[in-house]
Amino acid sequence: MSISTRNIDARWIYLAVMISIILPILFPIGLPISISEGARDVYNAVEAVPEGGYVIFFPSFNYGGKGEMFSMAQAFIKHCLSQNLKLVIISFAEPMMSLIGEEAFLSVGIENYGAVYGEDIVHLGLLAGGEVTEAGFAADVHALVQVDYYGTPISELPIMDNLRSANDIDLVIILTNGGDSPAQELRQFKTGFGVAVTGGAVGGVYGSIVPYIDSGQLSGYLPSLRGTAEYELLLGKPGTAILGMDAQSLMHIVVLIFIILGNLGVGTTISKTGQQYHREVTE
Amino acid sequence: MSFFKQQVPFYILVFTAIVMIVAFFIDIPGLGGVATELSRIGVPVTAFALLLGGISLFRRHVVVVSKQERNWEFSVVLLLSFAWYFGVNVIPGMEVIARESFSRVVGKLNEGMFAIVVPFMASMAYRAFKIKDANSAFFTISAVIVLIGNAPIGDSLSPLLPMARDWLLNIPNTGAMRAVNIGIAFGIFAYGLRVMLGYERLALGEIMEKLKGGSQ
Repeated sequence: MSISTRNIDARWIYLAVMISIILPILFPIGLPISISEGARDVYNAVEAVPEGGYVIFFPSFNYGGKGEMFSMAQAFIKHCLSQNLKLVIISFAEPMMSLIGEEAFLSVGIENYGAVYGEDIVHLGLLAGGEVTEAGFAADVHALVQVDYYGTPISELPIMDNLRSANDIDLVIILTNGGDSPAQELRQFKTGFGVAVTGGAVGGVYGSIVPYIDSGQLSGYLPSLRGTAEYELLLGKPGTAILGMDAQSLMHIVVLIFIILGNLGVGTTISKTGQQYHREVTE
Repeated sequence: MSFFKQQVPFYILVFTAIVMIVAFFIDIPGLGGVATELSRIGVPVTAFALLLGGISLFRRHVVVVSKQERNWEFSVVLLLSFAWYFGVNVIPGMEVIARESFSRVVGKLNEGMFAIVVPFMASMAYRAFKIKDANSAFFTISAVIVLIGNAPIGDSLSPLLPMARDWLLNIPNTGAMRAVNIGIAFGIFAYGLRVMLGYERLALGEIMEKLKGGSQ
């Protein structure tokens, strides 16, 4: 029987990863989480919005990114409502983002923050058309939006009375798991109207967004679950992101161990009798 | 007929592009309203594009089922799903059923599918991060630093790990991504210019060939 660390069956890796994720969730370790400057920038961007200011919230992620981004969406909604901001949820990309947006604000329980639907928060649903529609929305909101997600005319929603264009918007929060976001929001809201833009992204695309943070176009951006955990700590409202940090730590250690094993290049052969060992240096 | 099928779309494209570009950069009274109106038109146009895509998908899979081509059973599932979600979204009073059936079926399947990616990526990391030369060594070490630096365990192991991760993301990564983004931006600009001038080999490109008397 020959065991080589350079040729481990993938199923063992899958099993190890699954155990490393499940165990810390069942038995939390409680590793300390430091708060980065990026998370503070995002927190401060929301804190800087004056009471009653308008925040446009784009949950631009599908169900595939929900595991990483849903807790981030909840944290942003909690923060905006606790600051008495006017929160407008909208999607320009695909219908499932509207569903996720609805799930997010319903799961938060807006009544816990003294918020009333139609006065403090509204869900405008999907406006198909991508960046073209975003441009139109930024220029004239009421020209593009006639009803909210539930079919209520916006004339019956007090929150929409003073939202006419991007000039009335104080902050744009964009959560993305790929695509052209947040670049298109920067083009339409930041460049065109000087509106501050912040938000978060899944880990896989965060690296491509760092240039926008570095240039100051984005007022901070949260990277995936780690960023959400830091944000939850700043808010003082722990959520599922903090719960996932121990699992992330253990899983990353497991992956590191497998990377080391893959580079060892040493095979160990055990004879049938189990008595003799010799080492082979494999290629 | 050829005038409306070929030249009119081209002139609409050029007019729309010029209006949108000029309105973005120059504040001309009245032009902003025209640009906004054109943006509004984009909403039903996109909706029709989605409808056309759905119809095309439906027709294709009906053919697959009728001719019992390879994997036709999956096409049956697709057509039944298509009929269900179309029906519950069109029939009045079925909004709750539509939302619940979508989020509980399609949503959960989507989540499950992306959850599978995690152990697969771990397996790929095991196979891909092999140190064979200087380039692969830099690649692997960078990946390990970001991997551990991102997790809270990295903070506990050493304060240098998050610092190293930040340096990698803010310096080499930012430089490379800026180059990529600028290249993409120039490419999009050049392509847009070619489409507006009719030099791309689309229906518009064919129009220009005919307008020029068949020359390339």
